[in-house]
Amino acid sequence: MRETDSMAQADAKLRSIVEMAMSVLSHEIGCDDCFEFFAAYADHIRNGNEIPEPLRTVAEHLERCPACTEEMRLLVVALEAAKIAG
Amino acid sequence: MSQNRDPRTNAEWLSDLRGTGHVRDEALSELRSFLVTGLARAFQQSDPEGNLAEDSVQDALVLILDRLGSFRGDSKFTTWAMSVAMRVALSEVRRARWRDVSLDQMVEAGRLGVSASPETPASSSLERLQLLEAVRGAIDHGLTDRQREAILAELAGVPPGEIAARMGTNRNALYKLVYDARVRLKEALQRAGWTAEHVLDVLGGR
Repeated sequence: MRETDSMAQADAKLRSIVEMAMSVLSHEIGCDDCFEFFAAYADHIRNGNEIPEPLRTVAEHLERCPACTEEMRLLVVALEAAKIAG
Repeated sequence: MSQNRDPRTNAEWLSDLRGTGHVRDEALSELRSFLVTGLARAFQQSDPEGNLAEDSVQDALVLILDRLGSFRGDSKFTTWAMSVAMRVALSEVRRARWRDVSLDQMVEAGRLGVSASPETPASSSLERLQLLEAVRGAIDHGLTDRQREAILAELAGVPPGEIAARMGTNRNALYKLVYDARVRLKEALQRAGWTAEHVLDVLGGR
């Protein structure tokens, strides 16, 4: 058992795992399923469109998956940069 | 909103990339330039020389050409292609970042420890300690070994792809493993009398 976390680290971890547990939904999708709709989701948010119902599960996945959230953020940065460069 | 610089429709991209000779070469060159520009910007802080972008796009183009048939057309083709290239680049970044970290180290880093701080702030209330013990008990006694490993590594901030690689599985299977662990933890906390509202109160979440 780790006994050396700072109070902030200990609180953050406790909060994270409790949120992971308490936020569980019956209709969640996994990272790979989420990735299947990454491009469509990115187009919608870049165009400022409301997220349609079929992509809501992507939004829900992004809310609880830091890895996919980082990937989506970087994807949008890359798309904006490529657009400007053109 | 975004000005469309894409000179091709989705159908034209597919047709040109499936074509031959000059048409195909020109489409490949434009796509390559588009992808390198995007990745170079996205990773400019960690990869100022742009080597990651160049190498990743090389690998991504092979995947993109191989997967043209799987493009459903529910996005711009260039967005889909960039998503493939981003997955390649980010996977490499994460592999490098976690290269020397074992699964045991990941799991250990995720364990819920007691603060080393000699101070006792308000958050160290009796209820917080009770919640901490309830969560620890649920992790230690309510999960399978693999569920415990997966959820603690995730709690340590390790990307799913790296955890999955260490555990000899894939991201979707890992997600299912962690999902089942989350369900078990929620049920254990609820059996112990904790509600979502109560834990938020204890953790100062609202």
